[in-house]
Amino acid sequence: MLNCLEMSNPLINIDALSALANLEIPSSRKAKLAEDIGEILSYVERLQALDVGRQHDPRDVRSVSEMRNDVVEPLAQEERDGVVRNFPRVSEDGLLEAHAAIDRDV
Amino acid sequence: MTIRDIQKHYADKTMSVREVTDAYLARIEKRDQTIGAFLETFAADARLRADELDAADEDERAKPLYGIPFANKDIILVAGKTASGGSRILESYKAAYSATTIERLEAAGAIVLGRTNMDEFGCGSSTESSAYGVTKNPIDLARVPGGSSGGLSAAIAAEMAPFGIGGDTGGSIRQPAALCGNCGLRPTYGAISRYGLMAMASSFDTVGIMATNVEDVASVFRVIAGRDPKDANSHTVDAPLPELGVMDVSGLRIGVPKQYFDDRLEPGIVESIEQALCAYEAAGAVRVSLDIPILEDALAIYYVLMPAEVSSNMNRYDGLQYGSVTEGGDLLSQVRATRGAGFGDEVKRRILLGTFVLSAGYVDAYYKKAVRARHALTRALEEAMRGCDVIMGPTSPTVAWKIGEKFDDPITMYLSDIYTVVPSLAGLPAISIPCGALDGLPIGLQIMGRHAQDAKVMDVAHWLLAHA
Repeated sequence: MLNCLEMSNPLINIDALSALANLEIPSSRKAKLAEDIGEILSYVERLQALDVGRQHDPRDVRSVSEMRNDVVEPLAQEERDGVVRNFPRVSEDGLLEAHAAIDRDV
Repeated sequence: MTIRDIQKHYADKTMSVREVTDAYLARIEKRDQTIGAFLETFAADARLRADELDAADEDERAKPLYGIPFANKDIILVAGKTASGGSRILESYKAAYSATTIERLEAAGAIVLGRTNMDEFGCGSSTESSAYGVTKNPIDLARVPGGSSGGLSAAIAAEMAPFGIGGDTGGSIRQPAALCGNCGLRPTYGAISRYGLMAMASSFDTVGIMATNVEDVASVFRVIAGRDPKDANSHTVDAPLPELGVMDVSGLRIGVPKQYFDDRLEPGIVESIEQALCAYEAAGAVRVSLDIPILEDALAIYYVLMPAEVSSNMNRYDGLQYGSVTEGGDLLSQVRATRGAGFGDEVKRRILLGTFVLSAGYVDAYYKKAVRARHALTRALEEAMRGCDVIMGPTSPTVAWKIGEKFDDPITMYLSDIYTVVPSLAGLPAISIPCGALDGLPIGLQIMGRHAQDAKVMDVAHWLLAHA
């Protein structure tokens, strides 16, 4: 559990949250963001008093999802080129480049 | 001009498609320097398409939106064009394909004029949270146009486009429509394909339609609504009849929740809503007083679930496959730096809030509780709507406010969504239409219908504008 918040007295740990969210926050913005999030959490605290039962009722989900068959469909060359053009780094021989993802220390 | 006005010009041969398109582009050139509704116009492409349409055969001319220009909120993809979502992180992104809605509009003969300003990724209620500057309300340039589709609404109110499309998650079409005096529809969840709409909060996201009148909204709905295999949540609902306004409101049961009318609502707005309700009653409609206590909690439910979904959807913006990159050493450092530099404060606030309500230890108390509360609210609304055909109330608790007035106070800003989030939570169709003014600033009436009864919502809305 994150040591971010006492339910009755919100104290937000912006460093812990921003690490979880992979989001750099400048030091100058941390206090204001913590204050804002604390206020929003105080506002939504009213939900704790709401009696809506503890169990999820499967009938609550009015699912209208209609899934396609999992079949590979060819992508138009123009569309493919459009996707590749957006890559920030493409090597001279057309390979898409990114930083190494191995040895990631989280 | 309305869509019908433009079509009359074409039928009478008093204007060509090129002349209409040029007229709108000239209007943008003239007025948008002070308003800031458009981020970019596609003038050359629009003129080219207009010339093609002028040379087209009768089959092409018979298409439902033949030669009708429109504005596109910068969150819906147009192939080959920049699509920024109002964010710095997508400043350099060019769409590789067009959204289904764009394809359907273009196939019906419509011409996209350009992309309009918006709060970053739809996160905002005033269009002050765009990375590209503030859009001003054409009715009073010192005031906001609402949000997040403020650019779209300002463009339509200033007659820079006859209609437009954009995302509506918690009110992003309806609230700016109300603040600028337009009509704005949020369809039943899934009634219009979201393929090519940038995701904000997926269980709420819809593509909405805005115009100056309900007939135009209905004309566009008929073209873009319906099942799309590329959006698994999409389905087909009944479309409005070609001729609106034939309905008899006698016997129409209008639900009015008492929770909508408290001290957060400006008194002048109460009067206008009351006048609209009286107009329906005078024609034989029946007012049904509703007491739905959980409506008091709608905004709190929304502001737990929406940030949770925003935090998840925004994970795709990491600078690895597209978008702006801020170099920062190893992979993770670069991702963090890219997101830190690319997102504005409001998006960051929602990502952090969403991360919190989904984090171990708090997910039960916040997220899961809000999910159950959302279902309870949906059930309560369904129960209430067994006794009425539509539910009416204000779209926004206030008229357009001064630029900067609420910007540093998120809770006050969020409270402007207090009525629009209700249909969003329940996935129900709702439209905002103009119903009077307060000190010269437009007031919106929100009409919410039963699931898949988008056509009825439009019919009821059109009746008021045609008869009041």
